[in-house]
Amino acid sequence: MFRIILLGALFGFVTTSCQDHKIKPERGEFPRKPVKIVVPFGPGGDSDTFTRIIQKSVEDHDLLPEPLVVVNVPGAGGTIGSRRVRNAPPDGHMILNLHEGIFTSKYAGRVTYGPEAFQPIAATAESNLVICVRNDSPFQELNGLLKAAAEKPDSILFGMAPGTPTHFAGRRLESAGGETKFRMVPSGGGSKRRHDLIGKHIDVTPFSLSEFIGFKGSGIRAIGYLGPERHPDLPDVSTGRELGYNVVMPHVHYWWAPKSTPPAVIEQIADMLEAAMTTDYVRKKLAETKTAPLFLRGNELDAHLAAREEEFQDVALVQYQGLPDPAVPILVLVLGTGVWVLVRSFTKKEKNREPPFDWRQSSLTLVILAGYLLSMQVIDLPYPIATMIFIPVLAVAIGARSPHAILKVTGAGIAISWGSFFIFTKFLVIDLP
Amino acid sequence: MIFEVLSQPSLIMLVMLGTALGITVGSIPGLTGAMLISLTLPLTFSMDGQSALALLVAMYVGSVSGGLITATLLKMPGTPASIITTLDGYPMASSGRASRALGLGIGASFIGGLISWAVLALVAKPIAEFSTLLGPWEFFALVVMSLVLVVGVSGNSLSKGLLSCFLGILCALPGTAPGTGELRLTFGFSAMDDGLKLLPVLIGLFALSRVFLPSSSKTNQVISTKINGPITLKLREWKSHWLNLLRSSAIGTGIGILPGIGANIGSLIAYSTSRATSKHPEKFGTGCDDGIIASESANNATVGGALVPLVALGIPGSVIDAILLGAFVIHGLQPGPMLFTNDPKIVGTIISSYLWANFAMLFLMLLSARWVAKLARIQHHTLIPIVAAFCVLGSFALANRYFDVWVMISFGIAGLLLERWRIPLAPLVIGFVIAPLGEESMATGLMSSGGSWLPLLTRPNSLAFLIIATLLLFWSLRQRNTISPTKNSNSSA
Repeated sequence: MFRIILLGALFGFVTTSCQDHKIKPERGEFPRKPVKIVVPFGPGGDSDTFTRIIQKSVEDHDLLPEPLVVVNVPGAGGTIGSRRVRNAPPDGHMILNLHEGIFTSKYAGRVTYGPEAFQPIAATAESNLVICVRNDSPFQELNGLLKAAAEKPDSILFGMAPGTPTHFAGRRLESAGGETKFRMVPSGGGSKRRHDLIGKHIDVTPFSLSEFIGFKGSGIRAIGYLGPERHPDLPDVSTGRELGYNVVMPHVHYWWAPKSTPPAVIEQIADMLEAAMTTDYVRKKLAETKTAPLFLRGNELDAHLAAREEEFQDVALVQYQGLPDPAVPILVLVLGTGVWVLVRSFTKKEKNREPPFDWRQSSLTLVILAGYLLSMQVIDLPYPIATMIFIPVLAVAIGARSPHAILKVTGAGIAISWGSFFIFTKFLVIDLP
Repeated sequence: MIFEVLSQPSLIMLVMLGTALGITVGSIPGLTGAMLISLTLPLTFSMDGQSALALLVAMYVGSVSGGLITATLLKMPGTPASIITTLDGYPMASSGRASRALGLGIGASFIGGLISWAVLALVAKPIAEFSTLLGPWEFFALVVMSLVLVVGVSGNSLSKGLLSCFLGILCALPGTAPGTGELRLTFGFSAMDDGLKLLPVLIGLFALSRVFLPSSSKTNQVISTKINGPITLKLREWKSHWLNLLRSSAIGTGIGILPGIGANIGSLIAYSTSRATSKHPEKFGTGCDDGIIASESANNATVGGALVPLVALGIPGSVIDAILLGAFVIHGLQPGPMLFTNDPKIVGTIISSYLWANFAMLFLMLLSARWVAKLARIQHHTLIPIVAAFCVLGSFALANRYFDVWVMISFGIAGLLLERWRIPLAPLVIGFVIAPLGEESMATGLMSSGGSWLPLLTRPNSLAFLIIATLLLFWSLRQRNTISPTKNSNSSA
């Protein structure tokens, strides 16, 4: 048993001493600790993949003296992650990668802030949307589609994901076509829209270029490209501009720092990104997904962002009328069935009553658990130390009495706390408290 | 479909590891497969989707199987899935034929698994291909059907099942509304913008609720039987049981396909069917071969059955499937009929790791049955603090925020209270997981029809699903009266 404790303690010592060496004493300098990039979406998505490509090339070419760490903070259309960076200390150690979601969540009314709440660093990589129909569709080009939508408004089903560029693209096509109106159907993400398009549940929908190329041969075709000029991979597909509809809907990855980050730090990060964008690895990866290696910084970036903000500003997203809100009915149902269950339990005695329940022990467990969490959340106690204390304390509270048992649990606690701390921070690169 | 796992040594290792862990946890009373899998999910964040799913599916198989050892030797089912096995397994073991009882149980589990694997491999793809016919209304009808079913079958009171289901839907509502993208029920907390996440809810309900449970009784009176001689499976003997094996596996697979119904109900129905059709019904419950075979082949067969709607349509067939659905989302895989075209590798991995996990289960169980029986005696106060620490770690790691940990703790308390009041958890979890799908389909359907509900009844497929739902509801309510209700309190395999 002592061996386990010794091992745990040794393990802890080694890992902490590793930590200590990394912290550099100079204050105010950048970077003095690992730089975290917040990706406000889950792993595996387009933003996450792109950020990790950049991270790999930064690490491979030693473009930053400290490690670059990708942190996924998914949820609510990217706003949970963007809010975290907005509130982070403006020293450049936590930055955000977020595409046009930063405009759309503002203009769709999800959050009150947009790009103005951040310091833009750079714009990297650009791709555009392709408007697609089923192979048996009567439409050959965008003008045919828009004419039909003008003649019979609200009859063509336009698939999109609400509040995203696909939604804005539909709205902007409508306003470019004059008196046209699609029936907007919130189908969802790319592959869901393809499923609905093939199954004739929608008539037309935009895809990103790489999505479209992946879906080729499954019964869909492109009728228009929303880029500034034709794409070399789709030479026969005309752009909206050629037909007189000034609708360009690019998809660009933007990098943001908290407001009032020092300009020198912004420059330094922009230099790093610019260098990363020119590496062969990044170029190759971008070519695979048909993405243009755009890079903008400084004044160019500001002008670009101002122009993009206008694109989204002009479009009013229609508020949906007539969709039932399930909140109230469900609440009523919960209360109704709750009362029913209560009434039944009073009228019908259940046969096999369980032995009386020891509420004291459960409450004690809860108090210890809450104390454990608060010690980390409020007092900032490091994770391994808090856990090392928590495990034996809880064991004693729920009935470990003999010295042998307590010793055993203490050993397990030390091993688990330092072990998981080591595994999570070193291998999985997940932030622990 | 068969060899995906064998192509990579790391996947073979993960399948072995997952099955071993599943068997271990499955055989410890109080720890369930749902708990193991929801606690393992955060550890898979850094793996690719393929490895993660191979590991989790193997755990699923192991945890359904592991319970039979303690059920047979100690009359203490490690998981609800093997409650029925105690009826015949324990009498046989206590009459000095423990190794025979284990051999029958393990063999039947294996064959049940193989048969349902064959169904999974044959049926999933055609269903997924047929699914482009299914638009938003059909998915909405499917969701309604799933909810009706899970309410109809779980627990022994309709009112409690309904309450649990509505509570689950209620918990799914806060956050961004799928139809309109607007925020609702967040009470001004920006942390609620994304609603309650699946992982903290599950860890709370299935793992932390155990931590709160006082240790008192349960593990005190252990009646132990010794294993005598080697555990063997004689091919000759199996010949006389082929009909029972086939029937029970078919029942298990079928029950598994129906959404939200766990392995315990599968084995219960197979057992009562076997007894009803047997020439010697009086032998059931005294340690007869048929009882063990029916229960064990059916509970393993439910796993393959449950994977069918998950893989083909993205609708969970059981509570553990709901967690696997969470694993899809966390690993950036979109569940649904699109999975076959987008990620054929993932589908292949799931199906083939299910097959090989069954082989691993057979191998590991035969080797380790003696040793596993001892696990049931690990002391409560050593196990529980460790489980608690992992609960906190797992829910924090999901999105690096404390909010999720507090959500997890609240659901831990809720899980304890619900279990105390005998309200089944399965409808809550299934409702929580598929309510967003239902609401999304409803919003999409209503917007494409211009606000009319009529297509729900005029489209032949959606009408068919609704009719099936009604029929199954009546069937399950009738069954409720014929099958003795004391056998299943909670369905969480």
